Amino acid sequence: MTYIAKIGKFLLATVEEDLDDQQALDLQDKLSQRLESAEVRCVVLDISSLVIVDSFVGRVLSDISRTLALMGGETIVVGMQPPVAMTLVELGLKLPGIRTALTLEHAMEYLEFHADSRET
Amino acid sequence: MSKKDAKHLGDVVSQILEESKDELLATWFQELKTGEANAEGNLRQRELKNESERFMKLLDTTLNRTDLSTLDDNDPTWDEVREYLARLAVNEAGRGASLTETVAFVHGLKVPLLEALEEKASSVSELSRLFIEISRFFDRLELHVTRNFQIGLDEIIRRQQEELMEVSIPVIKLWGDILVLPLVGVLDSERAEAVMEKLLFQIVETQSRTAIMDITGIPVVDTQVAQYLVKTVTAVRLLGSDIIISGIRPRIAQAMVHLGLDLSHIKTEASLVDAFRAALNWSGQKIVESET
Repeated sequence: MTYIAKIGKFLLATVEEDLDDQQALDLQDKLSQRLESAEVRCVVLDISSLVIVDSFVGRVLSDISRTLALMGGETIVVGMQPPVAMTLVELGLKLPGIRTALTLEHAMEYLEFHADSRET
Repeated sequence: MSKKDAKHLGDVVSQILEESKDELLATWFQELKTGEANAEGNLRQRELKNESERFMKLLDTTLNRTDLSTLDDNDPTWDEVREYLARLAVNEAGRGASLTETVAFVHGLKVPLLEALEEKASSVSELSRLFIEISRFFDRLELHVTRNFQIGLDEIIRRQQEELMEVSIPVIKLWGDILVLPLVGVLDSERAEAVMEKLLFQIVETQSRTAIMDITGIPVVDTQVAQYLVKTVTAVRLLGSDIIISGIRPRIAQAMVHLGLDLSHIKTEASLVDAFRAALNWSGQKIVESET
């Protein structure tokens, strides 16, 4: 299960422990729709509860970032757990172009800086 | 040989154990006596005495229930004896005793037992039969001890390997949110994997934005290890942190180029000092000399 909330200028999507294939696809769907309707440019994807990942979910993560990029949005993946990172690397999925942050706080720092530089 | 003549060896032995327990213990103990007469030696002697008394008692109780010839790896009646000897062997291995010393403990009982047996046998043929059976019995016990001594040794080696692995991956917080991992020694793929795991967990735990991997102390890098370095860099980035590799020695740099690895996206610095400076730079900090 995932939960999506709009906070200020970005969308926060929290991924729960188990993300099966269908849920991953649903997430991709929902996020791209919300990006359009909510008029935000940035999605923060918190995957800190996600401890198991397979090649499919890994690819969907990468797809989400590319889809949103096509729509002019940016994705920041937050709180990836070491086992997940190791699995993705072993699977050869490097998630090119995806932005990552250690914590939600780091992501927000980046967003603030980024938003400022956009306005000017 | 009639049924009556063929005494059960177990009965004979348990009879001996009961009748001449003290003499047996004394002779056995004499056999075991090797240590010096210092405090440590005395302690050891007392320990041996306790152990031999315990073992004899255990043997006696077991023999009251079954016969010597029933000893094999599966008979549950012998479980207690087997477990006792297994524990003894593992303890001795942990204490650093030699295999000879450990087996000698069991072996020491054999001689006095055989001597005592001589008086019990009614004929030569019976004596030889008892001899063979009791030898076989002790052989099995000694084998059992040897096997467990080896298990004890293996356990020690495994534990030491683990400890070595642990101390060989020092992840240190250098400054604010900068971690440093100074690697020393030969990096094989097992250690490289452990390095990656430890680093990733430490980054998440300390929430460090920058990690520096210093490989000045690494003499050689092969394809597999180079591959692991690349994987580690990728995994660290996935976590949302960044990594600098410092101290790549000339020969390693040449090797990496020869291996044809694409390392262009990896940040590298000449030395740990340069890497530290670069890391500070990213977070908008710098080192200045004090005014005074």
